[in-house]
Amino acid sequence: MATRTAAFIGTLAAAVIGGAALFVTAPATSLVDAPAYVVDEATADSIDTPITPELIDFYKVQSWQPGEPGTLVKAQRIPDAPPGVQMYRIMYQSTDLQGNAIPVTALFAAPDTTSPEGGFPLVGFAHGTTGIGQMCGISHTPLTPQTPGYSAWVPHIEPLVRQGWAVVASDYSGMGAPGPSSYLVGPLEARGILDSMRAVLPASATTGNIAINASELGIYGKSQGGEAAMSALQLAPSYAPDLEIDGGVILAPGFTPPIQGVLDAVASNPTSTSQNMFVLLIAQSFAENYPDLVDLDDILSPAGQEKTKLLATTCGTDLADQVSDVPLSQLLNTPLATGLVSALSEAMPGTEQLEMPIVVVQGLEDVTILPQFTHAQVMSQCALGSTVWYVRYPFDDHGSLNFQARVSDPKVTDWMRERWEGQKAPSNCDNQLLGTTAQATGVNR
Amino acid sequence: MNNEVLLPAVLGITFGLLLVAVAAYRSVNDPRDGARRRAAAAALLLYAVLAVPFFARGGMTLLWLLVLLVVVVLTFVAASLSARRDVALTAGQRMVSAAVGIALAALLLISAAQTISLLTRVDPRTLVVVLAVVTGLVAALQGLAAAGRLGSTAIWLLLFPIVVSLALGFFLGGFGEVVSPIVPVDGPSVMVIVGLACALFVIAWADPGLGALSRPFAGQRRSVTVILVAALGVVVLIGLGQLMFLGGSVLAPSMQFFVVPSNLDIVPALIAVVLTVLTMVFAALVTIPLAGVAALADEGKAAKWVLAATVIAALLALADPGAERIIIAASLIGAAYLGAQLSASRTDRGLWAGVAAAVVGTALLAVLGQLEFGVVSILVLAAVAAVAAVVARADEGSEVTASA
Repeated sequence: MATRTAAFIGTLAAAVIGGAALFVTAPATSLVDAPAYVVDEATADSIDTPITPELIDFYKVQSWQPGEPGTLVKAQRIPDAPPGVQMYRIMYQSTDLQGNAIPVTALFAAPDTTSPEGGFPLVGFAHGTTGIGQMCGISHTPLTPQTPGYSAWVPHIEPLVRQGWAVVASDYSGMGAPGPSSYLVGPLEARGILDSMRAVLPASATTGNIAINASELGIYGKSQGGEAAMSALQLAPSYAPDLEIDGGVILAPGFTPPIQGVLDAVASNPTSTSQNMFVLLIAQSFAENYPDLVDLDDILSPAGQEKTKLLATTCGTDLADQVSDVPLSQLLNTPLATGLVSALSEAMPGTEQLEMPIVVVQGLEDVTILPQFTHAQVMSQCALGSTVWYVRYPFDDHGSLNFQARVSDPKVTDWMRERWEGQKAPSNCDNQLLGTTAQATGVNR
Repeated sequence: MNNEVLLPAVLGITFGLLLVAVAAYRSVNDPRDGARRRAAAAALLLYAVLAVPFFARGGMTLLWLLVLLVVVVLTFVAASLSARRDVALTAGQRMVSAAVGIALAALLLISAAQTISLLTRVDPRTLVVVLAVVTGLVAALQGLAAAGRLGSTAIWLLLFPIVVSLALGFFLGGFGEVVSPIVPVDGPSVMVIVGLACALFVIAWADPGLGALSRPFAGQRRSVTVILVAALGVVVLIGLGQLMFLGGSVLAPSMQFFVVPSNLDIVPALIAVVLTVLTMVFAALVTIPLAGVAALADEGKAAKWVLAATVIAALLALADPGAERIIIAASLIGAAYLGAQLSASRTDRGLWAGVAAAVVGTALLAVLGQLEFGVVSILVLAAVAAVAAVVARADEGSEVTASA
């Protein structure tokens, strides 16, 4: 009896000591101890997007000759670039989801200096939500305050160029040259990003003979662009195996879980208007790209369909304001048509192990991108065995994160540079044992 | 997940481990029949835990859920057929069976560590060590009685995920989607599932835990029914809830699969409760094969066998060569056991020939990059069993000739 009691007490002690050991040996949290980045009022105002640019002739395609994806079609130097920067609008060949050749446009910027030996590192930048209209791309007016282009230029592209990197920022399909709109249609956004990188890899006289180092490539995306960047990283090995991408920076990615109940809960909210623009953009883009699954009439109410007319003519916060005068529940038919869930499940990335490392950054005060969804994606990637460096800023929101991620340690720009230097990518996936890459469920790849 | 959950999570895990100790020592008597039936169901459920990832990787629909049930039933058939052989195990067979038990314990330690640490940020390596120490202690000191009591408790605790899964399914999904999925998936590879089923069948044949827990009920139709209903019921109810919630197909890992776990911090106590249940269930599942090893040991040597088995299982789990690889290697060892046993040989020569073939087969598969389920793994499995059986029969024949 005494032996049994001793064994029992011994087991209890092992349990308590084990618990303490688990607490003491827990890896460092992904939460960064940093106050929120404060964006000054003038900057915040300038990167707001109430102005919809005019569509200039560059984006009008008179006659279209299909070609190899990633082929540069034409380029136009953007005048009045800031000192030390050269900028171009480019048009290049890409493909839609059916494999048809389509023209897509991008902004290409690089330091206006002699390139380093081997060429400039190249970042494929993926921008956040600006709309889906032809004039809503970021290459239209990157230097004009309060337009979509400026909202990408100031917080993202210019700082990356100032690092000494070349940046090519796809407008995505349909947001410059005519083509199917691509909002959160991951495989289509991905094609736009990957082909833009291919288009500028060979130095071209039309783009200032900028030399690119093909062994120093990265992808960097925010919000919609975070999802697009992840899609590009997932698609790259099969669609663009010629691109040796060293890593991806994913900021507050716009992932939408294909779960009927969750989407219905959002759609049925009788008071919320904050998601109106996003939902209309999704509905329109998915109806265009997945016609077998998504019918706009099924998803949108007559009021919602009326609002979609604005999508072709209006961008940014102007669009958001104009579609947010009624609750989302009045724009949608609920429960949502199941075809949209099916299409979302096909379009969302995150079901395949990534071949290259990523850093995922999320502000926990973000009300545009729910941190829980980002967390779910990180868990999935960790479970798949991807190399993920996850960084959470406790006090940053969707806007301040654009700056915080670069200026506060661990800086994403440092992370990217370290990948190009060949350093081993860090991972704070908590599920991996000493062995090979692991899935949470106990299955390794 | 916005909030830090380490403290409540660790408290939940610790509470789960304390429950393990209390459950294992709660009585001086042997578990009653009801508890032992539930424990046998837990021992069977272990195979569903090992198999589910291979189904969910390509997307598990209702059809594949039914296939999963068949795979689990087949493992029970294997264990039952093995248990019906009313012949005392040879020393070699006990060692080989123990090796299979060690592999199962390692697989479950890996699964537990990866799942729990993904939810909580605890170090999976520490978790392997902690779980191994606690389960090893109860298995060494309480033997099969611990497996019986813990397995029984685990089955009761699984009511919690069943209720949660069904609630999610009914409130945020619908049964119509189970029949007609709205989230299209490719589904798992048929050959992978066939290979997995063959491997698990052979492992179950040699599994000391399932064997020891189910043997007393061999031939008892009512008990067998209860065991199967309990094990399959857990799989079906959790599976149906998930299918309803996730649009008719469970694809894991995927973002949608982790949407619920990523929200566990919304109620501070929730993560602790979840972790208590998970810890308790995984601890029970790890204890079962270790207790099976104890049952194989000679009188008075159970503790030593379990200690050795626990250390080896923990080291294997820490090294984590991959679940698929461990399952295949264990199944080849199990095939040697099966082949030798079917030949009804009273010596171990066939068994060791089979084990040697298993080692060669594993090495060969590794060299060929084929340590994965498929036609090749099935062929090697059959070859190992055949080598063991043929050598054992030849050996038996020569013994008969010699004695004549």
